[in-house]
Amino acid sequence: MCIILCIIFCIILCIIMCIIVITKMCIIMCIVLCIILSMATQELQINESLAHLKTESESLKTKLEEERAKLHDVELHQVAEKVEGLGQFVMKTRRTLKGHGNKVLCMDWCKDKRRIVSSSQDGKVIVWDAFTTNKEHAVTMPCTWVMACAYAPSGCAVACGGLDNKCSVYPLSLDKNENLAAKKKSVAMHTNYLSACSFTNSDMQILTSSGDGTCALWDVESGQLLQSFHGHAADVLCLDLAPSETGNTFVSGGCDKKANVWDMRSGQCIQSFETHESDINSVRYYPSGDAFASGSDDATCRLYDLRADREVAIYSKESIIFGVSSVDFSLSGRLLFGGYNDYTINVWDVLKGTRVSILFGHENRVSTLRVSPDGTAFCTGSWDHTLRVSSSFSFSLFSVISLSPEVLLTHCVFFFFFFLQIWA
Amino acid sequence: KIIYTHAPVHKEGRHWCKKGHCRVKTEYNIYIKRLTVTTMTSNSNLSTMRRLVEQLKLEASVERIKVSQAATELQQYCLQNAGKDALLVGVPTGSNPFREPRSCAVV
Repeated sequence: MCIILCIIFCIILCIIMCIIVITKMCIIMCIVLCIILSMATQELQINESLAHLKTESESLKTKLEEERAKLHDVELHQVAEKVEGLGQFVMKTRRTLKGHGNKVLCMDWCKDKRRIVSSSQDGKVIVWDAFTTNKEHAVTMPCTWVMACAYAPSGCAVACGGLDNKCSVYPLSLDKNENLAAKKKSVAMHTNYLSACSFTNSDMQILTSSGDGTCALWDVESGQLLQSFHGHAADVLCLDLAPSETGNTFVSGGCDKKANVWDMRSGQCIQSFETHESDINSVRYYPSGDAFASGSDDATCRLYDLRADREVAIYSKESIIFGVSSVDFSLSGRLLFGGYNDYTINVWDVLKGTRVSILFGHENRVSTLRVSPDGTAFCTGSWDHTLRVSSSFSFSLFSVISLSPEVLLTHCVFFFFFFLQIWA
Repeated sequence: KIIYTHAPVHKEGRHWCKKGHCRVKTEYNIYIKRLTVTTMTSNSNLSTMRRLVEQLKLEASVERIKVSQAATELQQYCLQNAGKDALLVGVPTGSNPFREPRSCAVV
């Protein structure tokens, strides 16, 4: 090309100059000129290929959008028109867990459906029994802002982490007096804060996401990094594992407004969704594993289907302007619970896209929300230092009959004598 | 740039806390989301661009189904499991593990 011709011309000129005036200075100047020219041409080549790659990536993006739009023939709420509506819901707070000294940042249920682990800003991690509201274990972490905590599937350990850039696993023992902090095992090492952690199907592996933009899979025993996942352009704020036993994918959401689906074995990003307008605070898989919901600072929750490879529903209202901090599905997937920064919890009908209920009760923003493993209740943690366990309120004849038998008997006896007196 | 987000502080009327700036002197809550400087995706890096193109090619080759089919399957799953969902249909208070422990005193 012309650039190469220029180089050749310059070299010829330099050689002619050298022949005419053979001095050291001349030769040195020629060499320097040649080097500068070669560097300039390299830069030009790089810029050309960059431009080429940019155009290619733009065209691929538009092609991807077209492919996705081709299959968008109907909306989810149109398909669900024939399904009967849910009507108004009433949820009642059954337990209030008080004991944290500062904002509750994260919580998780145990598989036995009754224990809860929660972590707060002052570094305390507490294991509660939700039925009795007793505190079973309490650990003080050496760092503040413990933003992630998780219960092991066996119920024998908890993992937590935050501003210390590490994920620590504490084995829980039945002996209440034992000092849990002594048995701490440091598993993950990131270069920025830990935003979320989760055990995989066994106690042996932990998946973590961090503010340095990466997710990583670690082996608990050895603390070794098994797989790392790069692809987010900013902090990763949340992750969730696919619900199936054989599944080995997980979804992560970050500050770059993208939700990525990853393959755990290969470390590849399989699918990526970028329709949110702000940071994604929370992602949760649909119970069947074919879709996931995400909640973001743009005050909307969106449902993405993995097999249709696109967003299928948006859950938003003009009156809601505060961001969603956490989302979770009910057991059947019909209800989507969202904890918002305006201190409320909104319950959405997943199929119809409408809001069925709004719950009040917290005095500060709701930071975390999880439905229990058997779907009977859900727990919310908030910046007002408390956790609340709520379930649906159903008033029926059964509730009268279910009073304890001795109470019922005494009531019957009382009324019997009462009526006897009136007769007599 | 470090970005802070604040919760609103409710007084008579409402004071909205703007991102990065709070006008109300009462206690405000800072939720530190980003502690490092977020770098803009610099397109001047050749290898990053190459990786992006490869990734886009991979994503374009994913097999997709129609939204109508996906939606019907989601709806089917919902309706199949609706009976087991305690938060949806409610459980009789007797079997609800979270019912308040009742104790009545007879007058």
